[in-house]
Amino acid sequence: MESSLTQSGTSAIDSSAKAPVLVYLFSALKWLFFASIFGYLASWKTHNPEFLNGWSFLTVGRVQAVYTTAFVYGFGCNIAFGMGLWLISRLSGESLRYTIVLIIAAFVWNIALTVGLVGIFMGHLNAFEFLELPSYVKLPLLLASLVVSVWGLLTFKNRKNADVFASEWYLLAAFLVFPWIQVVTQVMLFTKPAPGVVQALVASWVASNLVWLWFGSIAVAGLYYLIPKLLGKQILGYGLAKIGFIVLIFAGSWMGAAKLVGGPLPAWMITSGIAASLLMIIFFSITGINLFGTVWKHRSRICDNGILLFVGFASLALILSGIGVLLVSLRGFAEVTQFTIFLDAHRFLILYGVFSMTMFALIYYSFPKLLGREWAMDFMISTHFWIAFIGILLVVVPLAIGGWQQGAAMSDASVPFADIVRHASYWMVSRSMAWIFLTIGHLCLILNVLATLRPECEAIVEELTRTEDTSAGGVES
Amino acid sequence: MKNFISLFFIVFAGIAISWFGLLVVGANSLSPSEEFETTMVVAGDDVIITGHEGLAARGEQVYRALACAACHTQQVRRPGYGGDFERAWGSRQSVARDYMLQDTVVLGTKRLGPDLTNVGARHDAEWFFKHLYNPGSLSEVSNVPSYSFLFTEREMSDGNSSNSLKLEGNDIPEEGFEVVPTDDAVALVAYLQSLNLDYDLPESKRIK
Repeated sequence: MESSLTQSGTSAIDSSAKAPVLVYLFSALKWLFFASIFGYLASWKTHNPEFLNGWSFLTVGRVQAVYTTAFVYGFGCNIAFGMGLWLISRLSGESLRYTIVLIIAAFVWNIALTVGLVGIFMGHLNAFEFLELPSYVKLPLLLASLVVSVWGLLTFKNRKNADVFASEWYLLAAFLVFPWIQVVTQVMLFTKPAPGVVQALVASWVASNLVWLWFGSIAVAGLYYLIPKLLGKQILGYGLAKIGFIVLIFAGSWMGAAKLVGGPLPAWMITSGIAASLLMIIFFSITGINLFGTVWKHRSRICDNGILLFVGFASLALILSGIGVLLVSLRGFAEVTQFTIFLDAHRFLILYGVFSMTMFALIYYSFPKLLGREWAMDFMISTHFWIAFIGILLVVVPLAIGGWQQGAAMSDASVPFADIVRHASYWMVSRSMAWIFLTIGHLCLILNVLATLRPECEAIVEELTRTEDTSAGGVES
Repeated sequence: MKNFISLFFIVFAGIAISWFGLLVVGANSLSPSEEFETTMVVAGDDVIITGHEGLAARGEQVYRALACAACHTQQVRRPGYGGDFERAWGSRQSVARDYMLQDTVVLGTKRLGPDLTNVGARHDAEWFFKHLYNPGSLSEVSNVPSYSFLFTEREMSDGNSSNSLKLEGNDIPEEGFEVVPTDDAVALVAYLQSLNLDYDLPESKRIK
C-alpha cells in the first residue's frame, strides 16, 4: 500500500488523477440523479402500469430498460472507472499519465450512452437483461472502456510499490473482464448471434460476470482498501484472501448458467452454474471474514465515521448476497423464486447494497483528498447513510417476502394468475416508497459535492481540463 | 501473485475457460446438425422446426421494441417443476430444439404476466387486438397496460373496414369512426399467434 510513500508522493498521484477521476465522478452523479427519477417511475409502473401510459416511449418495459441502463452504465460504470483508476494509481504509487485520453474516453462513453438511451426510448432495445443498449452504441462504449482498462493495467504494470495488495488483484480482474464481456456480447449476440437458446446462455453469462467480476470486483477492491485505511487495523485472515480471489475468477465466472434453472437448456449447462455457485461459498466465507469480520471486530468504532457505516453495511450486504446466490442456485429454492420479484430483491442487494454503498464510501473518502479540501457538510455523510439504509431495507425485505409468496402461489394453479400479480403489487409499492428515500440520499451526496465545490464553481470547466496540481483548496473569496 | 504477468494470466485463464467451456462448447452443441436436426418424424407426424418468418418476424421486432419481455417469459418448465404445466401454459416442456431457428430468443426472466410460449394456441386474433387495445374490456382480469397507441381511430370512408375492431361499451368510437390496428399491431398479433407448442419432439412429448 502507499503508506511507504511520502505525503508529497501521494498528493502528486492524487493531482494526476484529479481531472479524469472528477470527470467520471461528475458523470456518475449526473446519471445517478437521472436513474433515481427513472427508478422511481419504473418501480411505480410495475404496480400501476397505467401510470403515464399511452405513449410508446413510456411503455413500462422501456422505462425499466432506461432505468437499468442509466444505473448500470451511467452511474455504475462511470463511478467504477473513476474510483478504479484512483485506487489503482494510489495502490501502485504511480501517477496516471496522458490523462487527457481518459477524459476523452469519458466523453465518448457518456455521449454514446446518451445516444443509446434515446435509442431505447425509441424502441431500439434488446430483450436481454442489462444488455438493452442498442448495438450501434456498443463499439464506442467498448473503445472508451478499453482505454480505461489499458490505463489501469499499465499503471499497475509500472507500479512503484513492490507490495501487491488484495485490492489490486480485484482491480486488475475488473479491468480485464469488462472489455472481454463486452466483446462477447457484441459478437455472440449481435454480430453473429449464437444459435437458439445459447443466446440466453450468453446473456446470462455476461450479466452474471458484469455483476460479479466487474462491479463485484471493483466493490471488493474498494472494501479491501477502505477497511484497513479507516480502522487503521489489518484485515482479519488476510492470508486467505488469495484463495477467495482465485475462487471468484475460476468459479464465479461460471455462475451465469444457474440463472436459467428450469429453462430449455441442456442439464449440464445449468448444473455447471449450480456447482460454480456452490463453490462460491469459499469466496463469500473468506471475503466475508476478511471484510465484515474486520469491521465487526472493531464495531465499537463504527459510528465514529460516516464512511465506516457505508463500508460496514456493504461488507455485510456482500455476505447476505452470497447467501442469496447459494439459495437461488438450489433447484428446490429456485422452483419458487424463479421469475419472481425475489430475484429483484437479490439483484438490488448486490448492485446497491454492496456495489453502490461501497462506491459512496469511496467517493466520501477520495473526494476531499483529490480536492485537498474537507467536505462542506460533513454531517451529511451519515445522514445519507441512514436514509440509504432505510431505502435498501424497503426494497429488499418486502420484495424478498413478496417474491417468495408470488412464487409459491404460482406453483399452485388454483390461484388465479391475476390475483398473484395484484398481491405482488402491494409489495412493489414499498419499492416505490424506497426510491423516494434513495433519491433523497443521492441528493444529500450531490448537494454535498456542490457545496464543497462552491468556491470554484465558476472555474469548474477550467479545473476539469487542467492536469497539473492546482492546490487551490479551501480559499474562500 | 505479485507479478503483473502471472496475475494477468490467472484472470485471463479464468475467464477464457468459462467462456470457452460454457459458451463456445454450448454454441457448438446446439447448432442445427445431423445429431440435432430441425426436420424429423415423431410418432408418424412430420415435424419441422421453424423460426419466425414474414409478418411474425416483424412482430417479433415489435415485441422486443415494446420490451414485452420485461414481464413475460417464453419458456415452459417441466411438469412437476413449478406450476407452468398446471396453469396450462403449455402441454409439454419447452426444450432447446424449439428455439433453435429463432433469430432472437426472448426467454425472459420475470413473470408479472403469464408465460407466452403457447399463447397462440389459447387465443384468436380478435382477442389479441382487443386485449392490446383495452385489456379491461375482456372478461379476464389483467394487469397489462393498454397499448392503444398501436391503433388508430379514423373516419369511416365506406362502411367499416374489414380490420376494424368490434368494440363494446365505452370503447365504441364516435358515430362514423372506427378503430383499426396499425401495421405494428398486425405484426405483433401475427407473432403472438405463431407462438405455440402444438407438436411433439422426441425429447419432449405433449401430455394429454
